[in-house]
Order: sequence, then structure tokens, then C-alpha cells
Amino acid sequence: MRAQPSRWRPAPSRARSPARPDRRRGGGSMQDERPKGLLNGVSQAARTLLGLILLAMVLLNVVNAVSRYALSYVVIGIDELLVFAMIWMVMIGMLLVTADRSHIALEIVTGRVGPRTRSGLALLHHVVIAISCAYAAWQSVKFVMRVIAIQQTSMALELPMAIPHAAITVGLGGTALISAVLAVRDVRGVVSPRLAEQPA
Amino acid sequence: QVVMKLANATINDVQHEWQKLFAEALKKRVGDKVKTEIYPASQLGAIPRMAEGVALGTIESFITPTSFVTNIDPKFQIFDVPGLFDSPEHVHAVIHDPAYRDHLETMFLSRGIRVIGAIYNSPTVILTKKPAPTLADLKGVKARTFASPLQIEPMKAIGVTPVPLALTEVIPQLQSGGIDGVLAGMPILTAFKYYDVAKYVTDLNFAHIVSVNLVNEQWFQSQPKDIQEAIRAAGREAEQQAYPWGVENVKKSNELWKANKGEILELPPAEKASMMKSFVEIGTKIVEQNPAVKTEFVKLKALVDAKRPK
Amino acid sequence: MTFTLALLPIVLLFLGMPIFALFIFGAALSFAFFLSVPPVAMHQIMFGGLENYALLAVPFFIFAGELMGGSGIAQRLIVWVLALLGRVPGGLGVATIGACTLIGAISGVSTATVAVIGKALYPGLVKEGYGQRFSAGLVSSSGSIDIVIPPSIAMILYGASAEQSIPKLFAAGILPGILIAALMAGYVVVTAMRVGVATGRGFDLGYFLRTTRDAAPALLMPVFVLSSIYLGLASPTEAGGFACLYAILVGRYVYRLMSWEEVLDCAVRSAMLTTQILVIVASAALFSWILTVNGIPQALTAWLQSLELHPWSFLMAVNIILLIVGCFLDPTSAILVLTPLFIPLVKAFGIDPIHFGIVMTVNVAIGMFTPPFGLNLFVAQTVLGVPLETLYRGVLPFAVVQIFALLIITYWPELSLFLANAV
Ligand code: NA
Ligand code: NA
Repeated sequence: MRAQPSRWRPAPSRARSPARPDRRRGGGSMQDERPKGLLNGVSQAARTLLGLILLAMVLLNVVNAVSRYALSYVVIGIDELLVFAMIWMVMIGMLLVTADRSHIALEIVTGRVGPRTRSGLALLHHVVIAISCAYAAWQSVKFVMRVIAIQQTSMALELPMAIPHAAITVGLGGTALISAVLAVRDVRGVVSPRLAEQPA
Repeated sequence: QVVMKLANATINDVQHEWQKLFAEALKKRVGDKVKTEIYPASQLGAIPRMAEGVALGTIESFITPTSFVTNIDPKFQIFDVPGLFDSPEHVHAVIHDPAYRDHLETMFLSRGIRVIGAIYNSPTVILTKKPAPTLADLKGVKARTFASPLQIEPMKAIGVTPVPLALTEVIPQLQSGGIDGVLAGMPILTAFKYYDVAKYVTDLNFAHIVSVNLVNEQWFQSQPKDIQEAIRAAGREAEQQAYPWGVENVKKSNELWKANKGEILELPPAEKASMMKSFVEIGTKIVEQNPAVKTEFVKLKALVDAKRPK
Repeated sequence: MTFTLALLPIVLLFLGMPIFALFIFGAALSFAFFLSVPPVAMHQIMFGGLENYALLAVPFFIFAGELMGGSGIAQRLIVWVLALLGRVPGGLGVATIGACTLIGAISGVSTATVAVIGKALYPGLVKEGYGQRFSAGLVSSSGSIDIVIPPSIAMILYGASAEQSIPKLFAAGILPGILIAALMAGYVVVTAMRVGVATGRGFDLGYFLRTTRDAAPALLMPVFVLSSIYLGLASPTEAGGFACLYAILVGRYVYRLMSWEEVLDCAVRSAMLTTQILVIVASAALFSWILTVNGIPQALTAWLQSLELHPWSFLMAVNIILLIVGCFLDPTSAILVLTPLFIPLVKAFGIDPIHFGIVMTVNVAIGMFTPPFGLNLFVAQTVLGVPLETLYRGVLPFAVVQIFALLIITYWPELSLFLANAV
């Protein structure tokens, strides 16, 4: 039984700084010298946004509970807002987790094969993800357009329901795009394994 | 063969009964040309998802109290104005008035949904942990309501603090004292055995819940004419049969409540009359904010007054 | 259909395809080629899978768990627990189970418990010599005690679906939860004696009191969270939020181990962990929806009915089915899909629906850590950084122990009904 580190091991458990998930031991990331300032900036900003959403949810939740119990004052719609915030957090997070290649997966095979085969499997995964998420994202676009058309609003806050629903569109569409980019890198990894396994 | 999925959040109540009666009535008319599949107990998703589903065509049919679909079309609010109906018979006379029933069927077509069933569900009562036989006892009670102004504003008017909560939170909060009451229909209270956490129900004659069975209009229009007519006829047959069942079910719920050491309290008649009058005023003000809703409410109110039991 | 929904995903699962993608891929194929339902339903079902107030407890309790590490609370709790259980063989292992049971009385989400306990106690377990596999298995499996000890989201879902009293279900879960914990603790003690885990220093009152004083703010955290629920100040989800705020304040101002930057870092990590789990919840909703509209659970029930079983063999069959289903499906879907189908049979057999609810709850609790699909496993993988393969082996002995407990719970209804009938 080998406890071999694998690409699919979720990044946050290994990386102290979530902004820069460290690569596999002996991975080829140091060969990646191209300037990626903009992408890194966007990714860093998205991570910070996630953390801030979670902190805001904690505060909102505490305010909600304190006002309900201690002050007998009920702020209507906080529950709804919390759930919508969670959905957005998860869908933005989905993009980052995809880019980090840290989705939860069964590692039985991927943890045991060589880098070229691993890149080949990753290519298969990313092609499948790109196609199926693109299909789902397209359905999501159609759904959101119809939600906009019927002007559906939320029960408590009367917020346009297109706002929370659009999170799914962003999550699926973005995941499809990022997976397509990763698939291109996986092709390079199959051709030349030492160049493989770069973060998005 | 066409599949017609009939979705429902509840089970073994009058809504579920209507679905079963409808399935039979339709089979009688079209045989196996339409295959009905009943999904009770939110098997196809939470209430807002099923409501969207029927509006957008992912579910063919969904049965629900009107108050859960006001975000699909605010015109559904008109049935939720508290104090509107006096009794189940009154509701029955209004919603099954032939001309109004025809009007009701097509009232929401602009949102892509058609009403093929309209049924009397149950009266809304308030459950409390401490007995509340008078309005004074209800002052300061924190009660779970829907996040609808038609429940929130009237509750505030009698000094109850409305707390819109997720359904899964209701029992734990009731036990822990986070809330001390729930506004709900009696069959719901007995189905979830609320008598284990609170014993007292005060019959406010607050509102009589009307349930509607919606179908997706695009799906409906894609059916051949004979099937369309069969669906309409089956819906109306089922609602006539479901009415006495529903009234009986409320009675049974009341008996079950008492059998489990629950009590059903009535407000003093004078208090009740003045409360209902103020409820109608508050409700009218809310529904009249939207011109389209106001038009429909005026029409409904005229019929409600005409059919009011003497 | 069988190919797209079963065979293909299973092959891809073993080829290392991310779990969420298996569900989306299988669903996309079904919607595109087999189902008559408009495929826009995919969006709606995924949104519906996430739009659930109860799920809010997941990010909060994951965040609380992350904060327990960074703020110094976890370390002090470990020191304190060891000072208390120093000479007991397997003290830390037993403490892990005790802590899971205690946190179980706060939360209804076992994933959150695995996150909290895993972060706090796993490194200590490994250091004490239990080994990575055993420790990871212990953490993943004892987390599921939380589902049986009230409050429990599984019970709320069952109660709503089967029209059973939720308070009664809560009460009925207490003794079975304690039984599972006790059997697990027994197994841990035996193993600790067998492998010779180092026992700590003997009990020293002075040392214990010093440790207690240092750990007081940490020890107050569960007290604070528990009392906020039972004094009626907060729901479990709200208590999760309080726990986060409390840990931030303790870490920032009492133990002074966290800067604001580290608090934000911690929040980012927690949000990413939450994502990894909830993305699967959203995608799995697709899968169970398709199973439901294809009448697969109904076919299962019809088949069971055709076997004309006795109540005891019916319960055995239910246990086997649920254990198999639990290998592949999340508890929410399993409960919501199967309860309405089992209930008519349960009533026909004269089985108490409250007792049956506990049997189902224990089954889905076990399903949380049985391979290959188990949310506890995925959380443990994420939080502990242990490969799933190691976890799969690690949980096996604990699965055997819990299945033994399940059999006792199944065939001794009074264990569940004693407190339920007292309510
Ligand atoms: Na629990
Ligand atoms: Na499992």
C-alpha cells in the first residue's frame, strides 16, 4: 500500500497559503516561467472573495440569531440571503477547485501510474468535464433566461431569482472553460510529461 | 404514450388525494394514452423548485397551496387574504362557481401555467406552547409564518412576532424556545405530530388554504385536443370528489389532535369578528398594491360577498 | 440507460474522474439521449440540491474546525483530554469517539464533525502510534455517530417524509448513538492494548488543573455551543456560526495566535473545503432525481414485496439494501427516495415507524463512511490529506463494529423506543 501523493489530493490540505497550492513533489511547476500575473491576480481575488463571503455569512448568521432571540426582532430574509450566498460561494469555489485540480476523486488508479498515463487520464477527465459542464451550462443559461422572463422573485426578500440561479451558470460555464484549458495542458503532458501538471 | 408527472410536497393529504382521483378520472377517459406518475413528499424537489419546474416545463404538474406560488405570479395572493372566507362551504361555493372556475383555469396563462384543479385544503390555525384563548394571550408570541406579507402583516397587527423559518427548523426551535408558535393548517400539525411539542391550537379562522393543481401550459398545448379536454374534465371531476374528503380529513385531524391530548381553543366571538375585519383590511391593502392583483381581487371579493353564507 | 447511469460512471470512477463530474456526465447523457424531461431541469435540480438551509451548517462547522486548529483551541483540548484520560489504554482514541459523540449533540452534519475532529485529533492519533490507516478510519467512522445522536438532519428528513414525530426520533436516537460509541470505544481500547500505543503520564491533579485552566476558553466552546442550543438561544446552524465567531475571538484575543490575515486565510480554506463537498451534493441531486423519475426505487420495493418476507427478514433485507445504497448514494437522497417506499411495508409488517427511522438513520450513518461513496471519507481525505485508498481500508473494521451495533439496534426495538415513548 503506497500513500502516494496524487494530483487529485485536494489542495487546501497541503497548501498553507491557499493562493498558491504547492505542486507535487518533483512536479514540473518550476519550469513554468510564463508571466501569469493577470490570471494569478484574478484567482487570488476570487479566493479572497470566497473567504469574505464566508466571514460575512458567519456575521449575518450571528446577527440574525442575536436579533431573533435576544432582541425579539426578526430580520426577514436573512435565511434566504445566507443560502444564496452559500450557493454563490460554492459556485465560485468550483472554478478555483477545478483550476487547482483538487476535486474529490477516487485515487486508486491515478495514484499508481506514471506521469504520462496520469496526464492521459487527466486529459480524459478534463475533456469529459468540459463537454458535460458545457452542456449543463447551456441548459442553465436557458433556465436563467426563462426565470428572467417570468420575473420570478424570491419568497422573502423579493430578490430577482435570476441572481442566485446565475451562480449555477457561472459555476458550470466557468468549469467547462477551465477544464478545456487544462485539457490542452494535459495534451502537452502526454506528449512531454515533464511539462505537465501546471496550475491554471 | 405521454408521461404526466404529478408533483406534491405533502403525502396522504387532500392534495395527494386529488392527484390519485385525477389519475383515476383521466385513466377512465383516455386509458393508457397518458401515463400519470404521482410523486408525493417532495420527491421531485423542494416546493420552490417544483413551482419553477411546472412554470418552466421540467415537471408537467404540481399541486400546492396558493401561498407557495405567489413568486411565480402575485395574483395567487388573492386567495390568501386572511379573513376572506367564512367556512369550507364558502370556499367551495366560490372556487367551484362554474363561471369563476373557468376564469381561474386561465388566470395564470401569461406565466405559462394552467389551473386544472382547485381544492379546499384546510383552515390556518395558530399552534402555541401556552394556551392562547384570547388575543391578549397571543401578544409577544414568536410564531413561524411563511415569508409572505399576507401572513406577516396580520400577525404583527395582533402583536405576534412573525418568524419565517425553514420547515426543518420549526420543531427544534419550538422545542428550544426559539419560537413559541406556528401558523399552519391542522392536517400539517397532526401529520408532523406537533402535539408532541405544543398542545394548544387557537382557531383564528385566519385563512382557508386553497390548493391549486398547475400544469405547464406549453406541455398542455402540445397534447392532442381530446387529451386536453380529458385532462380538464378529469381535474374538475377530481376536485368535486376531493372536497368532501378534504373536509372529512380536517375533522379527522381535529379529532386526532384531541386524541393526543391537544386542545383546540376558540377566540371570544366579538374578538374574532373584529380581528377578521382588520385582517381583511390589512390583506386588501397588501394585494391592492399591485394593479393586476387588485383587479383580480376585486373580482374575487365580489363573488366571495355574493356567496357568503347567510 | 443502465450503461450511462451505472456502468460508465463506475468505470470512470475507478479511472479517477472527479466524483462530481461522474454525476454531471451521467445526467447530461441521460438528459440528452434518454429522458423526455426538458434538459433545463439539470440546472433546476442542481440549484435545488444546494438551496437548503440545513446545508449552511456545513460551511460553518468546517470553518469552526479549521479555526480550532489555527486558534490553538484544538491543541489545548488534546492536552486536556490526555491529562484526563492519561492512563486509559487508547485514551486519545477513546477521546476521539467521546468528542464525536459530544459534538454530535451540537451538530446534525457528520461531515462537519469529521472536519472538526480530524483537524483537531488526527495528528495526535498518528503521533501516538495508532498509524495513519487506523486513525483515519477511526476519525471517518466515529464522525457518523453524530448522525445518530440528535440533532440529526437525517432524522428530520425521515420524519418529514414518513410523517413521524421528529422530537420522538431525536429521543430515540440517543441510546443507539451511545451504544455505537461504546462498542467503538471498546474496539479502540482492545486495539490500543494489542498494538501497544504509549499510555501517557498517570493522572496528576495539579497538572490536570493547570491544563484545565489553560484550556478553559477551549473547553467553554462546546459548552457555549451546546448551551446556546439547549437554552433555546440558537439552532444548530446558528450555533455553528456562533462557534466560528467564538473561535475567532479566542484565537485572536485570548491565545493571540491568529492575525486577521490568518483568519481570512482560514475562511478561504474552509470555503474551498465546503465547495469540494457541496459540489458533489449538487451533482448527486441530479443522479437521485433521475433514479426517482425512472421508478428504480419503486421497482426495488415491488421486488421486496414479492419476496413475502417475515418482519425480521424484511428488516434484514432493508439493512442489506440500505448498506449497499449507502455505498453509492448520499443520505439525503437515500432517505428522501426510499422512505416513502418503505413506509407502507413497515406499517404492514407492524414495525414501529420510529424504530424503523432509527434503523434507517444508522444505515445512512454507516453509508457516510463505506466505500466508495461516503461524504465522511471525502471530508477525511480533504481534511487529513490521506488518500482514499488508505481510508477505504481504515474504515473496514469500524464498519464491522457499527454493523454489529446496527444489528442490535434493528432487533432490539426497545433500545430506540424506551426514550422515544418517554417523551
Ligand atoms: Na447530531
Ligand atoms: Na458509503
